[in-house]
Amino acid sequence: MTVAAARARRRSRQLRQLVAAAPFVLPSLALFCLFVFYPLLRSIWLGFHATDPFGRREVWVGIDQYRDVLTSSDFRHSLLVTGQFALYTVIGSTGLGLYLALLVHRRLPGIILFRTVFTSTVASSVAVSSVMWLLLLNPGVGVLNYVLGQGGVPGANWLTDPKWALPAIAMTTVWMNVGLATIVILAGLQNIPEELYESARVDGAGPWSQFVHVTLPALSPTLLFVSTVGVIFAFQSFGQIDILTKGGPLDSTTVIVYSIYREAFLHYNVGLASAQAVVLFVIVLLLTLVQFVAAQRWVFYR
Amino acid sequence: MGVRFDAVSKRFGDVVALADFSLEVEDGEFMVLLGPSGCGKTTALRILAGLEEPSGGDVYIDGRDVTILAPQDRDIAMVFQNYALYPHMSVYDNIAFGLRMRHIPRHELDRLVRDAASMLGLQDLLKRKPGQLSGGQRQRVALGRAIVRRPKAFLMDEPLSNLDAKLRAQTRIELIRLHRTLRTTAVYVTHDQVEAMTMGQRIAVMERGMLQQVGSPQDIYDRPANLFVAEFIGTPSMSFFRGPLRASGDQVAIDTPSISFALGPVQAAVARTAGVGEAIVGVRPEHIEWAATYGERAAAAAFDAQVDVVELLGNEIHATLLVDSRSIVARLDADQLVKPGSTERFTIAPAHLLLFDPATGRRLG
Repeated sequence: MTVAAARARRRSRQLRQLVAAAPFVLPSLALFCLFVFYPLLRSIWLGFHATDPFGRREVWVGIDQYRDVLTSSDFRHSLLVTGQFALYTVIGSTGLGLYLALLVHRRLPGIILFRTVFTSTVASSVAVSSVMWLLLLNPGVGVLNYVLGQGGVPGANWLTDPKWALPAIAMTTVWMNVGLATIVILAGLQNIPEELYESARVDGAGPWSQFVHVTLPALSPTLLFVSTVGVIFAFQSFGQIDILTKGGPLDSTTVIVYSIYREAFLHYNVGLASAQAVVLFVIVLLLTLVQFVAAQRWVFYR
Repeated sequence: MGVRFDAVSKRFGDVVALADFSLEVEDGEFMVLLGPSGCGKTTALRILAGLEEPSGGDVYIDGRDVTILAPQDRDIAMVFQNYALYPHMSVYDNIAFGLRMRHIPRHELDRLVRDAASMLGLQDLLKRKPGQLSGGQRQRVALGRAIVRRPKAFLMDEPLSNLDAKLRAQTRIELIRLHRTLRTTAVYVTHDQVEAMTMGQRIAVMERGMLQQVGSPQDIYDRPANLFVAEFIGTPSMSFFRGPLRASGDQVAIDTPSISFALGPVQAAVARTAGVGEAIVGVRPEHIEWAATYGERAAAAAFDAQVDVVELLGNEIHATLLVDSRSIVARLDADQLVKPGSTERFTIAPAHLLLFDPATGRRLG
């Protein structure tokens, strides 16, 4: 058989495999194209155009809107707010998730009940959770101020005081995310072989040393995952802000996503909103890359 | 710096893992706890390590009651079956971990780690992570972690079971050498009787949570305390024949359904003093001889058997024989090639017969 014939045979085999594989790939490929790739490309494209008040594409303005976004103080403010929000929520939900997972990791009678309770927030929607916290945080009739008052601590106007609005929303978000964090970290904890702890105990390690030298290193990939997902969640948060504060007071809770929403659907400035969205996309992409590079150094994969 | 169990027991719910376990390991001795899985040997070791709390009884290390002490306060080192190396630490850090936990000054720590590493041939691997090591190397790191602390006792839980046969044989010899150099009390748990026989200065045979016999390997092989030890030790296993005693004058015979045994003077005396009406005779495979080679002189028993399966191992032959539909194994010399399917005559020498009391299972004499 000649080389050319062999090559042709191989090519026809590859073609047949492609034909066989296509029906399996097509549905998800179609969905991705429709809801991810097309909007993404469309946003980038819209970012280069100014739009009329009805959101219709009008004139090509090149990179003007991108430059406006990057130089505007409003955008920088919302970037700062988003950063703070991400910091609060990631540290809060990862830390609290780790704490709760450690609590329910032990084998005790009835522990399943606590595992269920601690992780149940996974099952509640953003809207329901937000409305619930709207009531809890209410300065007049809310439970939070009542409890603080009982303890002699003065309450706050959680959602109307610019100093407290962002922490209050972050607290709400931590509450919503901590269930997932707890589940994932608990699964990570249960994968650590018991022998490592026994060996450490025989070697003379107390509970703290065991935590530092056995638990944390073994858990580092899990913690990286939880914090990466936490950052992405934080940058995408919208529902709780829309329901609790609508970006206020004084823009103290205007995260980028809320700013995009306001620009596009309240001011009908779709072009500028698209430009913001693209910048946000690039920021999240960079952050994720940074986390994975950091992971090479700090995270131990077995 | 010996180790002592004093009437230690352990229950997990309704299951008795260890019952009234008493054992003294002398200073510097290599003691093997041997038994089938679930016999309580690992439980005993874990109680000694402090990883498990006994339900009753006391544990002493170096004369001190350590029953309620935490593992870190017992000054012992343990080698686990799966090595339990810290996967994110280098070999060096793994070996140094126990010393760091005890706040040993850095220069001394470095010297101790390098000493231990060179003793085990790990000098060139100190920077590697456990994931980059072979099974045998990991095993040595686990040993290094134990010896570097110079503990009062080494506890080892089936440390060779994850190695392949060849490496296991090598490591056995290394462990014997290591023990000869360090002279540290060692308690070694295994279900492998070859490990037990070759490494143990004494062996404690256990079954169902109870200590069956403690003795030197030779003792346990030649004078097993009861039927369990007799059957458990030795490959292929001992064969047993049960029958009533028949005395006529000085002669004592045991008539079993398949073979009749005429006891020699020593066993006859033993059988008489025991005053039992019935006995179980135990015969090791190597004590069954092919009459074609040795003749029948002075045999305790002679019988015809059909040769069923012949396994040639190179240096010896294991022949499975059918005696009245019972199958027993004989160990023959490599040149005694009996033919499968043929019927041959075999004899059993009187000196090696072991007699057991059928009621209690104990060996007579």
